[in-house]
Amino acid sequence: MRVLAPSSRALPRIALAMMVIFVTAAFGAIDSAPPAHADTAAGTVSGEGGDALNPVMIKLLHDDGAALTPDFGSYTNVDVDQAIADFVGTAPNTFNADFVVTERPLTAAESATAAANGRSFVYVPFAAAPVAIMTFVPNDTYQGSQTIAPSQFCQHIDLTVNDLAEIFGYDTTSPFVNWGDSRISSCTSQGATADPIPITRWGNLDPTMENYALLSLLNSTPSALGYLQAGITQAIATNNAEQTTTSATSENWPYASPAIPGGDEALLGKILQLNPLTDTPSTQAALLSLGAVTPVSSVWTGAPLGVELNLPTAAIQNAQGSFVSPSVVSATASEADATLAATSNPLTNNLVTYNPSSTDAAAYNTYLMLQSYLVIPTNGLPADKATALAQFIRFVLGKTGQADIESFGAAPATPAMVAAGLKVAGVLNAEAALTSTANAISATSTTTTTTPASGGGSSVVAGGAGSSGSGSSSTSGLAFTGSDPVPLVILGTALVVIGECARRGLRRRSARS
Amino acid sequence: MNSIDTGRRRQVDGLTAPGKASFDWAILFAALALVVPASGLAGAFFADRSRRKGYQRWKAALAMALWCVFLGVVLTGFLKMPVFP
Repeated sequence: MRVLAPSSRALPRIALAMMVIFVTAAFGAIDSAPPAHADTAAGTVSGEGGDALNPVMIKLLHDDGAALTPDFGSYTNVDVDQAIADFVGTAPNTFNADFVVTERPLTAAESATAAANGRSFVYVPFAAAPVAIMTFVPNDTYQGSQTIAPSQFCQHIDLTVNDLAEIFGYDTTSPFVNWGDSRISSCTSQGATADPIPITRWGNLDPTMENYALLSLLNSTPSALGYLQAGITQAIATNNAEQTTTSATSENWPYASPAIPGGDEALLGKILQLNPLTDTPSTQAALLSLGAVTPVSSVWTGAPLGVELNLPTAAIQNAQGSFVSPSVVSATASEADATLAATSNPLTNNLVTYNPSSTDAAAYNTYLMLQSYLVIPTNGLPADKATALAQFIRFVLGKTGQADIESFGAAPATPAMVAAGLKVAGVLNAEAALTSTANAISATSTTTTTTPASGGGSSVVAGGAGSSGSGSSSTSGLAFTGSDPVPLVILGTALVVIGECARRGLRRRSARS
Repeated sequence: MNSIDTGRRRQVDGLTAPGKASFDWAILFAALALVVPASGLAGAFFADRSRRKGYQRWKAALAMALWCVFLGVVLTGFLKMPVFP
């Protein structure tokens, strides 16, 4: 009794002291974790990517602008490779993009760079745009007048893979003479035949996935590959300043001329002589590059800049054998045949594989389908940016966002993709909440003033969210993103259970004495 | 000496009082309600359970559960998170 009495009295104090030490140590561990930060501007959720979905991204960010407040969303076309390079970082915790829109998964080297720089990420598939083969060819209603109307272009010329290969390559035995070649099918809209003007293959001088998609299609059969290789050889022989001597699938266009850097907009700007003030294409036939053929994202063939371009596109033969032109319907059909990866590895999870279908007559050629992903960091973002990105994902995958995507001619996400994306949004929200809480705790622990319980609670809300915007680039709370709240819940439960056990012990001891 | 023993007895009685466990659970769920407001309902349930078992401080647990639900809703709303994840 003499031994037990002092220790029993000291028990609550010891327990309290241990709890204080434990809680202090836990928050100390949170604060002492190495800080991660982005080098993008505070308050701006900076996105980068290629030009394939540029008009869609501008529209999405515009329509979601109010909901992103207090942050501001931005998207810059810097080409897909540069965007990914900015996203994976140049040094530990140094990144020049908060998210990326890409039409290809990151390479192993890029993923390794991101990991080395302290950034983990996930893919959110959200749109699928076909690569259109724009055939800027007049039909036979055009009789050589000074001006040309949109209705005087040859819509949806049927092209097989070999036709494409002969157009973008070279048939050494019997090359295509012009668009009037009898082996090229006639137009499917106004005007029966294409105007027999020379074929001019144009390309994008930047690394683009439009280039990649077309080259992968031309690499898909030995005969097509042969034509492509012959085209490159012929370009070398005729001094066409070739970009490469190989016909391998690449984001780089194999021919140097005519090729335009800067993405689809710059390329079309040159071919169509877009008015820089009004974005309307010229109607002066002499100024236009009639006869041009080039791969562009189908997003750019409708009204990407607010003005109807109504560009003529080819109908490409699909795996079933049908000739299908790029449209929301054909892209959606192609997307329906695709599979969405569901793995525990974030580097492969949510990736979409397009499978050619021998029975789907409506599907666009799978080689020419571009699946666009938002690549989202799962750590290192300030709370405000994580919250804004989560909101943006929900908007993009929501009714309005998907309608925006469709309005540009791209296929919306499938229900499985939407579900996968919403899961990512939830993860970002959880990160934001934890970052806010950690920031608030950090702030309150440094100011040792005594405040009422309710006042303290309110300051968590304001401090957590309010301070994150300005102090985003170097707050220690950032390192907390990606942590899991479950351990804290387990800890709390364990403490209650331990309390109950101790209580029963006390009851037993009281009963004995 | 006598007063110390009385104080200790009171302390032990307080700790082992019927409904104290429910009270503890109510506090835990109330704290959780700051992040997941829906768990505040469980906090309120345990506060009521504590009342039914005759624990005198059940009102404090209930008030805390409701207050934390309010704060949780404000916090999640501010962060644009769903109240029911």
